[in-house]
Amino acid sequence: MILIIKKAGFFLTLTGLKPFRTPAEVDIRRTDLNVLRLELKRYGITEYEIIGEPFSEVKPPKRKSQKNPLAEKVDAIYKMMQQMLGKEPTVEHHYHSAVQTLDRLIEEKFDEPDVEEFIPEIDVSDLKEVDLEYRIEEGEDVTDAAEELRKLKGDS
Amino acid sequence: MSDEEKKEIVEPEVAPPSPPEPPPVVKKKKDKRLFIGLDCGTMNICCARNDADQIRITRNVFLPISDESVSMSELSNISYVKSEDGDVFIIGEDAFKFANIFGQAVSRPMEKGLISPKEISAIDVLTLIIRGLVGNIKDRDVYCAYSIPAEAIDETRSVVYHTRVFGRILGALGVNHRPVNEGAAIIYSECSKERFSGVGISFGAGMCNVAIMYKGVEVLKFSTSRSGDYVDNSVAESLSLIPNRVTSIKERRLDLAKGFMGEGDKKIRRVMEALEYYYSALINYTIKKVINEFDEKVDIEVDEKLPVIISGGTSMPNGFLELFKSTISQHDLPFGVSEVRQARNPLTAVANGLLVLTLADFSGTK
Repeated sequence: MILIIKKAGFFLTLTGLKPFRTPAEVDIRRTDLNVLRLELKRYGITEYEIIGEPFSEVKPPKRKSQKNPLAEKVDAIYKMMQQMLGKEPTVEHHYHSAVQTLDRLIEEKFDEPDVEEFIPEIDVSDLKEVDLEYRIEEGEDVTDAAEELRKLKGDS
Repeated sequence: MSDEEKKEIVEPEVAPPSPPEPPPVVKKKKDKRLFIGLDCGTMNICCARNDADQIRITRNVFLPISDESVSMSELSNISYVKSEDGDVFIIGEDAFKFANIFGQAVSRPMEKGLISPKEISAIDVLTLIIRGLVGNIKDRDVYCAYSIPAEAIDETRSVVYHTRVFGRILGALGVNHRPVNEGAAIIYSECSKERFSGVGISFGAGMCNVAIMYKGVEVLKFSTSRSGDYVDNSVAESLSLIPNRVTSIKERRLDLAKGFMGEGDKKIRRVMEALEYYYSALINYTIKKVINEFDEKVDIEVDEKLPVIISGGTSMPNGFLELFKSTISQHDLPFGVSEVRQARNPLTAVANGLLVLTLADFSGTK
Protein backbone atom coordinates (compact mmCIF):
# COMPACT_ATOMS: atom_id res chain seq x y z
CA MET A 1 0.00 0.00 0.00
CA ILE A 2 1.39 3.39 -0.95
CA LEU A 3 0.63 6.87 0.29
CA ILE A 4 1.00 9.55 -2.35
CA ILE A 5 1.19 13.20 -1.44
CA LYS A 6 1.74 15.37 -4.49
CA LYS A 7 1.85 18.75 -2.85
CA ALA A 8 5.31 20.01 -2.09
CA GLY A 9 6.54 21.76 0.99
CA PHE A 10 5.57 19.50 3.87
CA PHE A 11 7.96 17.83 6.25
CA LEU A 12 6.11 14.97 7.89
CA THR A 13 6.83 12.78 10.88
CA LEU A 14 4.19 10.07 10.96
CA THR A 15 3.92 7.14 13.34
CA GLY A 16 5.77 4.11 12.06
CA LEU A 17 7.42 5.98 9.17
CA LYS A 18 10.70 7.77 8.81
CA PRO A 19 10.35 11.54 8.50
CA PHE A 20 9.99 12.60 4.86
CA ARG A 21 9.44 15.61 2.66
CA THR A 22 6.71 15.98 0.09
CA PRO A 23 6.05 15.37 -2.72
CA ALA A 24 6.49 11.73 -1.80
CA GLU A 25 5.33 8.18 -2.36
CA VAL A 26 5.69 6.19 0.83
CA ASP A 27 5.23 2.50 1.56
CA ILE A 28 2.60 2.28 4.30
CA ARG A 29 2.04 -1.46 4.40
CA ARG A 30 3.06 -1.57 8.06
CA THR A 31 1.20 1.54 9.09
CA ASP A 32 -2.16 1.67 10.77
CA LEU A 33 -4.49 3.47 8.40
CA ASN A 34 -6.68 4.99 11.07
CA VAL A 35 -3.70 6.50 12.81
CA LEU A 36 -2.24 7.66 9.51
CA ARG A 37 -5.44 9.43 8.49
CA LEU A 38 -5.71 11.03 11.89
CA GLU A 39 -2.15 12.32 11.74
CA LEU A 40 -2.44 13.60 8.18
CA LYS A 41 -5.53 15.44 9.26
CA ARG A 42 -3.64 16.98 12.14
CA TYR A 43 -0.99 18.20 9.72
CA GLY A 44 -3.77 19.76 7.67
CA ILE A 45 -3.10 17.49 4.71
CA THR A 46 -6.34 16.82 3.00
CA GLU A 47 -5.19 15.95 -0.48
CA TYR A 48 -3.48 12.62 -0.71
CA GLU A 49 -3.99 9.21 -2.23
CA ILE A 50 -3.65 5.75 -0.81
CA ILE A 51 -3.14 3.16 -3.50
CA GLY A 52 -4.13 -0.33 -2.53
CA GLU A 53 -7.55 0.30 -1.12
CA PRO A 54 -10.48 2.46 -2.15
CA PHE A 55 -10.07 5.82 -0.57
CA SER A 56 -11.85 8.94 -1.64
CA GLU A 57 -9.94 12.16 -1.55
CA VAL A 58 -10.86 14.33 1.40
CA LYS A 59 -12.30 17.68 0.46
CA PRO A 60 -10.78 20.87 1.83
CA PRO A 61 -12.36 21.85 5.12
CA LYS A 62 -15.58 23.77 4.94
CA ARG A 63 -15.99 26.79 7.11
CA LYS A 64 -18.43 26.14 9.91
CA SER A 65 -18.77 29.78 10.78
CA GLN A 66 -18.36 32.70 8.43
CA LYS A 67 -19.46 35.32 10.90
CA ASN A 68 -16.70 35.05 13.42
CA PRO A 69 -14.47 38.15 13.23
CA LEU A 70 -11.32 36.04 13.64
CA ALA A 71 -12.38 33.86 10.73
CA GLU A 72 -13.01 36.94 8.61
CA LYS A 73 -9.56 38.28 9.43
CA VAL A 74 -7.95 35.02 8.34
CA ASP A 75 -9.95 35.14 5.10
CA ALA A 76 -8.78 38.68 4.44
CA ILE A 77 -5.14 37.80 5.11
CA TYR A 78 -5.40 34.76 2.89
CA LYS A 79 -6.84 36.76 0.00
CA MET A 80 -4.07 39.31 0.35
CA MET A 81 -1.42 36.58 0.39
CA GLN A 82 -2.98 34.91 -2.63
CA GLN A 83 -2.73 38.12 -4.59
CA MET A 84 0.90 38.50 -3.56
CA LEU A 85 2.04 34.92 -4.01
CA GLY A 86 -0.39 33.42 -6.46
CA LYS A 87 -1.67 29.93 -5.74
CA GLU A 88 1.37 28.82 -3.86
CA PRO A 89 0.59 25.38 -2.36
CA THR A 90 2.37 26.05 0.93
CA VAL A 91 0.24 29.11 1.52
CA GLU A 92 -2.88 27.11 0.82
CA HIS A 93 -1.75 24.44 3.23
CA HIS A 94 -1.20 26.97 6.00
CA TYR A 95 -4.55 28.52 5.25
CA HIS A 96 -6.31 25.18 5.58
CA SER A 97 -4.50 24.49 8.84
CA ALA A 98 -5.49 27.89 10.19
CA VAL A 99 -9.11 27.37 9.19
CA GLN A 100 -9.24 24.01 10.90
CA THR A 101 -7.69 25.35 14.07
CA LEU A 102 -10.00 28.31 14.06
CA ASP A 103 -13.08 26.17 13.55
CA ARG A 104 -12.01 23.88 16.36
CA LEU A 105 -11.55 26.83 18.69
CA ILE A 106 -14.90 28.29 17.72
CA GLU A 107 -16.51 24.92 18.23
CA GLU A 108 -14.98 24.55 21.66
CA LYS A 109 -16.18 28.05 22.56
CA PHE A 110 -12.69 28.94 23.60
CA ASP A 111 -12.40 32.64 24.18
CA GLU A 112 -8.85 33.85 24.33
CA PRO A 113 -8.66 36.43 27.11
CA ASP A 114 -7.47 39.93 26.18
CA VAL A 115 -5.05 39.81 29.07
CA GLU A 116 -3.69 36.57 30.42
CA GLU A 117 -4.45 35.88 34.06
CA PHE A 118 -1.85 37.11 36.47
CA ILE A 119 0.47 34.50 37.92
CA PRO A 120 2.83 35.74 40.62
CA GLU A 121 6.52 34.94 40.53
CA ILE A 122 7.25 31.88 42.61
CA ASP A 123 8.97 33.09 45.74
CA VAL A 124 9.06 30.91 48.81
CA SER A 125 12.20 32.42 50.27
CA ASP A 126 10.21 33.83 53.20
CA LEU A 127 8.88 30.40 54.12
CA LYS A 128 10.65 28.08 56.46
CA GLU A 129 9.84 24.52 55.60
CA VAL A 130 9.94 21.44 57.73
CA ASP A 131 10.37 18.01 56.10
CA LEU A 132 7.25 17.05 54.23
CA GLU A 133 5.62 13.84 55.38
CA TYR A 134 4.33 11.64 52.64
CA ARG A 135 2.89 8.21 52.08
CA ILE A 136 4.76 5.61 50.12
CA GLU A 137 3.23 3.35 47.50
CA GLU A 138 5.09 0.62 45.71
CA GLY A 139 6.42 1.81 42.35
CA GLU A 140 6.81 -0.21 39.17
CA ASP A 141 9.65 -0.76 36.77
CA VAL A 142 8.35 1.16 33.76
CA THR A 143 11.40 0.70 31.53
CA ASP A 144 9.77 -1.91 29.27
CA ALA A 145 6.55 0.06 28.88
CA ALA A 146 8.56 3.19 28.03
CA GLU A 147 10.59 1.26 25.49
CA GLU A 148 7.43 -0.07 23.82
CA LEU A 149 5.95 3.40 23.69
CA ARG A 150 9.13 4.78 22.18
CA LYS A 151 9.08 2.09 19.49
CA LEU A 152 5.44 2.79 18.77
CA LYS A 153 6.16 6.47 18.36
CA GLY A 154 8.86 5.54 15.89
CA ASP A 155 11.72 7.15 17.74
CA SER A 156 13.87 4.06 18.06
CA MET B 1 74.05 -9.28 72.16
CA SER B 2 75.97 -6.12 72.81
CA ASP B 3 74.70 -2.73 71.88
CA GLU B 4 77.28 -2.46 69.10
CA GLU B 5 76.21 -5.76 67.59
CA LYS B 6 72.62 -4.65 67.72
CA LYS B 7 73.50 -1.54 65.70
CA GLU B 8 75.18 -3.63 63.05
CA ILE B 9 72.12 -5.63 62.35
CA VAL B 10 70.73 -4.08 59.25
CA GLU B 11 67.50 -5.01 57.86
CA PRO B 12 67.91 -6.52 54.41
CA GLU B 13 67.04 -4.09 51.70
CA VAL B 14 64.37 -6.24 50.20
CA ALA B 15 61.27 -4.44 49.17
CA PRO B 16 58.13 -5.83 50.80
CA PRO B 17 55.92 -7.76 48.42
CA SER B 18 53.74 -5.24 46.64
CA PRO B 19 50.01 -5.79 46.68
CA PRO B 20 48.49 -6.94 43.40
CA GLU B 21 47.80 -4.11 40.99
CA PRO B 22 44.13 -3.14 41.22
CA PRO B 23 42.29 -3.44 37.95
CA PRO B 24 42.15 -0.14 36.13
CA VAL B 25 39.13 1.77 37.31
CA VAL B 26 36.74 2.45 34.49
CA LYS B 27 34.79 5.45 35.57
CA LYS B 28 31.19 4.86 34.63
CA LYS B 29 29.66 8.12 33.67
CA LYS B 30 26.73 8.68 35.99
CA ASP B 31 23.55 9.61 34.18
CA LYS B 32 22.70 13.05 35.45
CA ARG B 33 19.24 12.88 34.02
CA LEU B 34 16.28 12.27 36.25
CA PHE B 35 12.79 11.51 34.95
CA ILE B 36 9.66 12.30 36.90
CA GLY B 37 5.91 11.77 36.60
CA LEU B 38 3.93 14.22 38.73
CA ASP B 39 0.20 13.75 39.23
CA CYS B 40 -1.28 17.07 40.40
CA GLY B 41 -4.66 15.98 41.74
CA THR B 42 -7.28 17.87 43.70
CA MET B 43 -6.95 15.58 46.69
CA ASN B 44 -3.48 14.06 46.30
CA ILE B 45 -0.20 14.96 44.68
CA CYS B 46 1.79 11.98 43.64
CA CYS B 47 5.37 11.76 42.39
CA ALA B 48 7.14 8.88 40.62
CA ARG B 49 10.89 9.04 39.90
CA ASN B 50 12.75 6.70 37.60
CA ASP B 51 15.56 6.28 40.14
CA ALA B 52 13.27 5.18 42.98
CA ASP B 53 11.09 2.10 43.36
CA GLN B 54 8.60 3.93 45.51
CA ILE B 55 6.02 6.56 44.70
CA ARG B 56 5.48 9.44 47.09
CA ILE B 57 1.97 10.74 47.80
CA THR B 58 0.74 13.54 49.97
CA ARG B 59 -2.63 15.12 50.53
CA ASN B 60 -3.04 18.35 48.60
CA VAL B 61 -4.45 20.29 51.53
CA PHE B 62 -3.21 22.82 54.05
CA LEU B 63 -4.40 24.52 57.19
CA PRO B 64 -3.41 28.14 57.84
CA ILE B 65 -3.07 28.94 61.54
CA SER B 66 -1.41 31.68 63.55
CA ASP B 67 1.85 30.73 65.28
CA GLU B 68 0.32 32.11 68.50
CA SER B 69 -2.35 29.41 68.50
CA VAL B 70 0.13 26.57 68.55
CA SER B 71 3.41 25.91 70.33
CA MET B 72 6.51 24.73 68.52
CA SER B 73 6.47 21.51 70.58
CA GLU B 74 3.02 20.73 69.23
CA LEU B 75 4.42 21.06 65.74
CA SER B 76 7.20 18.52 66.22
CA ASN B 77 6.89 15.70 63.70
CA ILE B 78 4.32 17.73 61.77
CA SER B 79 4.69 18.90 58.16
CA TYR B 80 4.36 22.64 58.23
CA VAL B 81 5.60 25.83 56.67
CA LYS B 82 6.19 29.04 58.57
CA SER B 83 6.30 32.49 57.04
CA GLU B 84 8.30 35.48 58.24
CA ASP B 85 5.01 37.12 59.18
CA GLY B 86 4.24 34.38 61.68
CA ASP B 87 1.73 32.47 59.57
CA VAL B 88 1.92 28.72 59.89
CA PHE B 89 0.61 26.40 57.19
CA ILE B 90 0.23 22.79 58.23
CA ILE B 91 0.41 20.77 55.05
CA GLY B 92 -0.54 17.31 53.88
CA GLU B 93 -2.20 14.63 56.00
CA ASP B 94 -1.43 16.52 59.24
CA ALA B 95 -3.68 19.37 58.11
CA PHE B 96 -6.70 17.09 58.56
CA LYS B 97 -5.70 16.15 62.12
CA PHE B 98 -5.20 19.76 63.17
CA ALA B 99 -8.37 20.86 61.37
CA ASN B 100 -10.34 18.62 63.71
CA ILE B 101 -8.47 19.93 66.76
CA PHE B 102 -9.11 23.57 65.82
CA GLY B 103 -12.61 22.90 64.45
CA GLN B 104 -11.56 24.46 61.17
CA ALA B 105 -11.99 23.31 57.58
CA VAL B 106 -8.83 22.54 55.64
CA SER B 107 -7.90 24.75 52.69
CA ARG B 108 -7.36 23.15 49.34
CA PRO B 109 -4.97 24.63 46.81
CA MET B 110 -7.09 23.05 44.11
CA GLU B 111 -10.81 22.97 43.57
CA LYS B 112 -12.63 20.82 41.02
CA GLY B 113 -9.37 19.71 39.48
CA LEU B 114 -7.90 23.19 39.00
CA ILE B 115 -5.84 25.60 41.07
CA SER B 116 -8.18 27.58 43.23
CA PRO B 117 -7.95 31.35 42.79
CA LYS B 118 -9.69 31.71 46.18
CA GLU B 119 -6.64 30.47 48.05
CA ILE B 120 -4.01 33.17 47.80
CA SER B 121 -1.42 31.02 49.55
CA ALA B 122 -2.10 28.08 47.24
CA ILE B 123 0.82 28.63 44.89
CA ASP B 124 3.37 28.95 47.69
CA VAL B 125 2.05 25.88 49.44
CA LEU B 126 1.95 23.88 46.21
CA THR B 127 5.54 24.89 45.46
CA LEU B 128 6.71 23.57 48.81
CA ILE B 129 4.64 20.38 48.56
CA ILE B 130 6.07 19.66 45.11
CA ARG B 131 9.61 20.50 46.20
CA GLY B 132 9.23 18.09 49.12
CA LEU B 133 7.79 15.32 46.97
CA VAL B 134 10.25 15.64 44.12
CA GLY B 135 13.09 15.42 46.63
CA ASN B 136 16.75 16.03 46.01
CA ILE B 137 17.49 17.06 42.44
CA LYS B 138 20.78 18.81 43.02
CA ASP B 139 23.13 18.56 40.02
CA ARG B 140 20.55 16.61 38.03
CA ASP B 141 18.95 17.37 34.68
CA VAL B 142 15.32 16.80 35.54
CA TYR B 143 12.58 16.07 33.02
CA CYS B 144 9.01 15.96 34.28
CA ALA B 145 5.58 15.33 32.79
CA TYR B 146 2.84 16.72 35.01
CA SER B 147 -0.86 15.98 34.76
CA ILE B 148 -3.47 18.46 33.65
CA PRO B 149 -7.19 17.89 33.16
CA ALA B 150 -8.80 18.19 29.76
CA GLU B 151 -11.17 21.10 29.19
CA ALA B 152 -14.48 20.30 30.88
CA ILE B 153 -17.50 19.80 28.67
CA ASP B 154 -19.98 20.80 31.36
CA GLU B 155 -18.20 23.83 32.76
CA THR B 156 -16.58 26.93 31.33
CA ARG B 157 -13.41 27.13 33.43
CA SER B 158 -10.24 27.05 31.35
CA VAL B 159 -7.30 24.85 32.27
CA VAL B 160 -4.79 27.34 30.82
CA TYR B 161 -4.13 29.16 34.09
CA HIS B 162 -3.76 25.89 35.95
CA THR B 163 -1.32 24.55 33.36
CA ARG B 164 0.79 27.68 33.44
CA VAL B 165 0.94 27.85 37.24
CA PHE B 166 2.25 24.30 37.54
CA GLY B 167 4.68 25.02 34.71
CA ARG B 168 5.95 28.06 36.53
CA ILE B 169 6.33 26.18 39.83
CA LEU B 170 8.34 23.43 38.16
CA GLY B 171 10.38 25.99 36.26
CA ALA B 172 11.21 27.77 39.51
CA LEU B 173 12.41 24.46 40.94
CA GLY B 174 14.72 23.99 37.95
CA VAL B 175 12.71 21.18 36.35
CA ASN B 176 12.14 20.77 32.59
CA HIS B 177 8.44 20.17 32.29
CA ARG B 178 5.55 19.46 29.98
CA PRO B 179 1.84 19.12 30.68
CA VAL B 180 0.14 15.83 29.79
CA ASN B 181 -3.52 14.91 29.88
CA GLU B 182 -4.48 12.93 32.97
CA GLY B 183 -6.68 10.41 31.16
CA ALA B 184 -3.95 9.69 28.62
CA ALA B 185 -1.50 9.05 31.46
CA ILE B 186 -3.68 6.15 32.61
CA ILE B 187 -3.36 4.53 29.20
CA TYR B 188 0.43 5.02 29.21
CA SER B 189 0.49 3.30 32.58
CA GLU B 190 -1.95 0.45 32.02
CA CYS B 191 -2.19 -0.36 28.31
CA SER B 192 1.28 -1.28 27.08
CA LYS B 193 0.05 -4.79 26.25
CA GLU B 194 -2.68 -3.26 24.06
CA ARG B 195 -0.06 -1.06 22.34
CA PHE B 196 -1.38 2.00 24.13
CA SER B 197 -4.92 1.76 22.80
CA GLY B 198 -7.73 2.13 25.29
CA VAL B 199 -10.16 4.30 27.17
CA GLY B 200 -8.72 5.79 30.35
CA ILE B 201 -11.16 7.17 32.90
CA SER B 202 -9.80 8.89 35.97
CA PHE B 203 -12.40 9.43 38.68
CA GLY B 204 -10.56 11.98 40.78
CA ALA B 205 -11.88 14.13 43.60
CA GLY B 206 -12.62 17.25 41.56
CA MET B 207 -13.10 16.06 38.00
CA CYS B 208 -13.55 13.01 35.91
CA ASN B 209 -11.03 12.84 33.07
CA VAL B 210 -11.54 10.70 30.01
CA ALA B 211 -9.08 9.98 27.21
CA ILE B 212 -9.39 7.61 24.29
CA MET B 213 -6.14 6.63 22.64
CA TYR B 214 -5.48 4.49 19.62
CA LYS B 215 -1.96 3.13 19.28
CA GLY B 216 -0.45 5.97 21.26
CA VAL B 217 -2.38 8.73 19.47
CA GLU B 218 -4.97 10.73 21.40
CA VAL B 219 -8.32 10.39 19.65
CA LEU B 220 -10.51 12.13 22.21
CA LYS B 221 -10.10 13.75 25.58
CA PHE B 222 -12.46 15.65 27.83
CA SER B 223 -13.36 16.08 31.44
CA THR B 224 -16.55 16.51 33.40
CA SER B 225 -17.01 18.40 36.62
CA ARG B 226 -18.69 15.44 38.29
CA SER B 227 -16.61 13.10 40.36
CA GLY B 228 -15.87 12.45 44.05
CA ASP B 229 -16.69 15.92 45.36
CA TYR B 230 -19.89 15.93 43.32
CA VAL B 231 -20.98 12.71 45.06
CA ASP B 232 -20.10 14.01 48.53
CA ASN B 233 -21.71 17.40 48.00
CA SER B 234 -24.87 15.92 46.47
CA VAL B 235 -25.29 13.51 49.38
CA ALA B 236 -24.59 16.27 51.90
CA GLU B 237 -27.09 18.58 50.26
CA SER B 238 -29.82 15.99 50.00
CA LEU B 239 -29.46 14.95 53.65
CA SER B 240 -28.54 18.38 55.09
CA LEU B 241 -25.13 17.25 56.26
CA ILE B 242 -21.64 18.76 56.18
CA PRO B 243 -19.70 17.38 53.18
CA ASN B 244 -16.74 16.45 55.44
CA ARG B 245 -19.01 14.09 57.38
CA VAL B 246 -20.13 12.38 54.17
CA THR B 247 -16.52 12.06 52.98
CA SER B 248 -15.57 10.47 56.28
CA ILE B 249 -18.37 7.87 56.07
CA LYS B 250 -17.55 7.21 52.43
CA GLU B 251 -13.88 6.60 53.08
CA ARG B 252 -14.42 4.43 56.15
CA ARG B 253 -17.54 2.41 55.41
CA LEU B 254 -18.76 2.50 51.82
CA ASP B 255 -18.83 -0.89 50.13
CA LEU B 256 -20.76 -0.78 46.88
CA ALA B 257 -20.65 -4.58 46.58
CA LYS B 258 -22.23 -5.24 49.98
CA GLY B 259 -24.79 -2.45 49.76
CA PHE B 260 -26.20 -0.32 52.54
CA MET B 261 -28.88 -2.67 53.96
CA GLY B 262 -26.55 -4.38 56.40
CA GLU B 263 -25.70 -1.12 58.16
CA GLY B 264 -27.24 -1.04 61.63
CA ASP B 265 -27.16 2.70 62.30
CA LYS B 266 -30.11 4.26 60.50
CA LYS B 267 -28.46 7.66 59.92
CA ILE B 268 -25.36 6.10 58.46
CA ARG B 269 -27.46 3.69 56.41
CA ARG B 270 -29.23 6.66 54.85
CA VAL B 271 -25.92 8.29 53.96
CA MET B 272 -24.69 5.06 52.40
CA GLU B 273 -27.90 4.66 50.45
CA ALA B 274 -27.49 8.19 49.08
CA LEU B 275 -23.81 7.51 48.32
CA GLU B 276 -24.78 4.46 46.27
CA TYR B 277 -27.43 6.45 44.45
CA TYR B 278 -25.03 9.25 43.50
CA TYR B 279 -22.19 6.86 42.62
CA SER B 280 -24.55 5.15 40.22
CA ALA B 281 -25.63 8.54 38.80
CA LEU B 282 -21.99 9.56 38.40
CA ILE B 283 -21.09 6.44 36.44
CA ASN B 284 -24.17 6.70 34.26
CA TYR B 285 -23.47 10.37 33.51
CA THR B 286 -19.84 9.66 32.61
CA ILE B 287 -20.67 6.80 30.25
CA LYS B 288 -23.34 8.88 28.49
CA LYS B 289 -20.79 11.67 28.00
CA VAL B 290 -18.25 9.24 26.57
CA ILE B 291 -20.83 8.07 24.01
CA ASN B 292 -21.93 11.62 23.10
CA GLU B 293 -18.41 12.98 22.77
CA PHE B 294 -17.24 10.01 20.71
CA ASP B 295 -20.23 10.28 18.37
CA GLU B 296 -19.76 14.01 17.92
CA LYS B 297 -16.00 14.35 17.70
CA VAL B 298 -14.41 11.12 16.53
CA ASP B 299 -14.47 10.49 12.81
CA ILE B 300 -12.27 7.43 12.53
CA GLU B 301 -13.38 3.84 12.57
CA VAL B 302 -11.84 2.01 15.51
CA ASP B 303 -11.96 -1.59 14.35
CA GLU B 304 -10.32 -3.05 17.45
CA LYS B 305 -12.00 -3.60 20.76
CA LEU B 306 -10.64 -1.23 23.39
CA PRO B 307 -10.04 -1.89 27.06
CA VAL B 308 -11.65 0.55 29.49
CA ILE B 309 -9.41 1.37 32.43
CA ILE B 310 -10.92 2.80 35.59
CA SER B 311 -8.69 4.75 37.93
CA GLY B 312 -8.59 7.53 40.52
CA GLY B 313 -9.37 7.76 44.22
CA THR B 314 -13.14 7.91 43.69
CA SER B 315 -13.00 4.47 42.03
CA MET B 316 -11.43 2.92 45.13
CA PRO B 317 -14.52 1.71 47.08
CA ASN B 318 -15.10 -2.00 46.86
CA GLY B 319 -17.74 -2.80 44.23
CA PHE B 320 -17.08 0.28 42.06
CA LEU B 321 -15.72 -1.77 39.17
CA GLU B 322 -18.69 -4.14 39.20
CA LEU B 323 -21.12 -1.21 39.32
CA PHE B 324 -19.31 0.35 36.36
CA LYS B 325 -19.38 -2.91 34.39
CA SER B 326 -23.05 -3.41 35.02
CA THR B 327 -23.86 0.19 34.02
CA ILE B 328 -21.76 0.17 30.85
CA SER B 329 -23.38 -3.09 29.75
CA GLN B 330 -26.72 -1.25 29.60
CA HIS B 331 -25.40 1.21 27.01
CA ASP B 332 -24.75 0.84 23.31
CA LEU B 333 -21.20 2.10 22.85
CA PRO B 334 -19.83 3.44 19.56
CA PHE B 335 -16.74 1.23 19.91
CA GLY B 336 -16.10 -2.34 20.99
CA VAL B 337 -14.95 -2.99 24.55
CA SER B 338 -12.50 -5.83 25.15
CA GLU B 339 -12.67 -5.59 28.94
CA VAL B 340 -13.30 -3.20 31.80
CA ARG B 341 -10.61 -3.29 34.44
CA GLN B 342 -9.25 -1.23 37.27
CA ALA B 343 -5.76 0.29 37.17
CA ARG B 344 -3.22 -1.80 39.09
CA ASN B 345 -2.99 1.02 41.61
CA PRO B 346 -5.70 3.65 41.07
CA LEU B 347 -3.86 6.15 43.26
CA THR B 348 -0.55 6.04 41.41
CA ALA B 349 -1.54 5.12 37.84
CA VAL B 350 -1.40 8.70 36.55
CA ALA B 351 2.07 9.40 38.01
CA ASN B 352 3.24 6.04 36.71
CA GLY B 353 1.93 6.75 33.20
CA LEU B 354 3.53 10.18 33.16
CA LEU B 355 6.84 8.57 34.06
CA VAL B 356 6.41 6.06 31.20
CA LEU B 357 5.88 8.92 28.74
CA THR B 358 8.80 10.99 30.05
CA LEU B 359 11.13 8.01 29.80
CA ALA B 360 9.86 7.15 26.31
CA ASP B 361 10.38 10.70 25.08
CA PHE B 362 13.69 11.55 26.70
CA SER B 363 15.63 8.55 27.94
CA GLY B 364 16.71 7.57 24.42
CA THR B 365 18.17 11.00 23.80
CA LYS B 366 21.53 12.21 25.08
